[in-house]
Amino acid sequence: MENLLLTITAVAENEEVRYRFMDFIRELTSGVNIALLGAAIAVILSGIGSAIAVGKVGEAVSGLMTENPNLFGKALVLQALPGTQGLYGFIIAFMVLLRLGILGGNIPDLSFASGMYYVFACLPVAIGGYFSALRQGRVAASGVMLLSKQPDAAGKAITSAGLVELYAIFALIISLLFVLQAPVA
Amino acid sequence: MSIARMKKLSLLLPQGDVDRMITKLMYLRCVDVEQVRDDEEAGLKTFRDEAEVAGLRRRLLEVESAIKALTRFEAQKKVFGAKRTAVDLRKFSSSPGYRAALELAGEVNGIVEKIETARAEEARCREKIKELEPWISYDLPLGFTGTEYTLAMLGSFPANISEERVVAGILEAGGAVELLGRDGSASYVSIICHRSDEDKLARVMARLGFVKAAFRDIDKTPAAALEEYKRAAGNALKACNEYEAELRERAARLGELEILYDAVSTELRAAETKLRLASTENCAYLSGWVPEKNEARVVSVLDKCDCAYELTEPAEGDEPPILLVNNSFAKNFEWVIGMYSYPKYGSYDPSFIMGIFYCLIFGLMFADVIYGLIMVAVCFGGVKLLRPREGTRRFLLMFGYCGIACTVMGVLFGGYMSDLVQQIMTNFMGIENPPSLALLVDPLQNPVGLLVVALIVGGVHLIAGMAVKMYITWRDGHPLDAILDTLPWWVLFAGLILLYFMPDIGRWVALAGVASLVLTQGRKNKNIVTKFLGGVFSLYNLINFASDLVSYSRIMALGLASAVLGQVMNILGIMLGKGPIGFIFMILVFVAGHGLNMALNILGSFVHTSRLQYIEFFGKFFEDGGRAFTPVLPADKYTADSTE
Repeated sequence: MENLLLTITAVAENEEVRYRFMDFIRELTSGVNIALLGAAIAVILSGIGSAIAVGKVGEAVSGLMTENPNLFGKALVLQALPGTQGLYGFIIAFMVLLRLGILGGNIPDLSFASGMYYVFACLPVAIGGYFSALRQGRVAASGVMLLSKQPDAAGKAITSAGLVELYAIFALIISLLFVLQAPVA
Repeated sequence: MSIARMKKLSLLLPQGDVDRMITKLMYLRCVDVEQVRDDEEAGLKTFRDEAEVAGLRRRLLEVESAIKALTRFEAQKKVFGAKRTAVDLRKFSSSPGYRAALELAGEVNGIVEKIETARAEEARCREKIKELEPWISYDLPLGFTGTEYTLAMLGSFPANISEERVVAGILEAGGAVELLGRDGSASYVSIICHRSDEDKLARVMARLGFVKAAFRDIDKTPAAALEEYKRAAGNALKACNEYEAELRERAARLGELEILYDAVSTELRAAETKLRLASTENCAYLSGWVPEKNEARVVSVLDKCDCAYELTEPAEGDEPPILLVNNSFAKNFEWVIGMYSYPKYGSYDPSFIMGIFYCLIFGLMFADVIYGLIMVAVCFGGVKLLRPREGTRRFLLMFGYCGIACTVMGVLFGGYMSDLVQQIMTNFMGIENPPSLALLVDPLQNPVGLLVVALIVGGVHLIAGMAVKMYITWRDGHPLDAILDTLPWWVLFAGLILLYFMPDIGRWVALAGVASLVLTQGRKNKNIVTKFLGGVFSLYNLINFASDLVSYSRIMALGLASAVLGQVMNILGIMLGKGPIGFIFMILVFVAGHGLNMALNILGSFVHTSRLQYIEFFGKFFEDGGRAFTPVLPADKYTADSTE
């Protein structure tokens, strides 16, 4: 044990090893990597939200189908509604890649601070998308219940669920405006 | 443009004439029959006999299932929205054709039932065949259980017990065994033994996992029984096919069933309407509503009947149903109002003014020339080609008009499948930084410009709402309130706008607005202090106006969202579009991507345009709570009235 500690201390005190470790950290936290982390967060969080919500509504739709299969078309619209947040997250991630030029194959030299800019830019759509998807899913699922009682109320159910969408759109727009102005060096 | 004026119809008629009268009213197509309440003092009792309704419902279900059965064999599959047959249902109902069609429905249902029985029989036989197959090499009758001294039985051992063990075990216990066959799960055997060895054998076999097979009711050899079941299954299948051929023969008469469906469903509606009437001993009483413009027509029909009637203005406490009367543009927007609530009788029908703003705002949210033209083509084309029912027609026409607005806005804001033109210029023609096609503002380059436009449209929308309120108040005989409730606000708004362009003038105009608000808004209060305080507090409404106005920023958000989503699809498509195969992929991505974008954003624009009407616009003047005018009508699912 004592020997091991001694070895570690010796290694840590070795100039060259220390230098290489710092290099590793520096590469790991390169601006581009941080920017990509932002894009990943955008697509992952909003995707999780949408996946959960679409799944929840899907369960309600299956229940409805046992009673009235004719309503599938209307129910499908309700199920699709909370899926858009995932799409918005994808759009932002895509715009980040586009802005960085990674899709063109070149990896820009970005400072850590510039990389963090992308992370902040992705936060609105990631968090806003996540929560609005969950809430929209709940409204849509109860809309499906409404549909089973009153098939004619599809318009009302869709409108109620559609209103929740707005906050995801706001998040998308703000994230987008950030990304469009993002530094590329 | 307006809410139709209604006349209340009270009708007394002999009980024997009720059915005939309801049919007459039905074909007038303009009488909304109200539910009459029981009135013991007046000796009125509602019709409660539901047997007729129940009988007709059952009959309708029968016709429906017969139609469903025949539709499968229809020679020419109906194209979406095929033309409805023109027919006079009243004549049909009393013609021999009605009976004939009813019989046809009965026959068809009978055949369907026979087909189902035959199918079940076939399935049963197939099941038996599967059961018998392992025993096929056994050459004694299956039901054979032995003689006086011997015992015969059939059964199976699980596949994991080796056959040698089975044979050895049985021989040792004094039995004879014959292996008949095996499959993946079991080996099948026949066993014969002396009756005195039965118990010993049973113990051995139980240890080996023997399962006895019981065929007590079959006294044939397996091969013969199998043959018989195969024949039976074949016969059932043949019968099935014959019955289906019988159905196919009748498929040509599907039209009769469709007419019958509408005839029966018309009868059902009449019977349901009857339950809303009340009766005394010999008379029946009907209460309903007729639009004023149809009064003469109703009178001319009723005058020829044996009945006493009266058409009166709605009395205090009556709630006449709401029929909106609009021109060919505005009536397509009525259902949007209906989704919220119909206006109260005597208030204001906002269809026309809402229709204009609806198109304008929808267009702003979904500004794109190509998308707009697609909407126009699909909607107007659909109306032209499919000749849909009135409800669907209006729905399509509304989105058609919105499509026109989208096209116009697309020209102003430079959207041609988002930025497809610029993308093609950059990527295929090598033009760096292609110019924007927008005449007004390009949302992708200048989102703030779009925000300003959105807020201006919002301001106009809100002012229009206040103007409608002013009109209603003036019309209802309060010209002073009409002016004092709106004009000071407008002065204040004008001042606030001027403040930005010409601060020196604007300041005084705004102050004049504030002063006039403080002086006038508390006028309903009793004493001078509360009058003043009421005026001061009214300034608080400015916050409401501000929040209403900010709400219109959603126009910018949705407009930008559709443009950006389209842009991403363009980039994705063009990224793939290298070489001929890539070109095909590019087209696929364009079709799927822009299709998705259209679906998402038409839905989004519809929801949010509606919301801006319901909450921001209607909030200024709308009085809700009306009941829709729903006249009793003959059914028209498959038929159109030839007497029209």
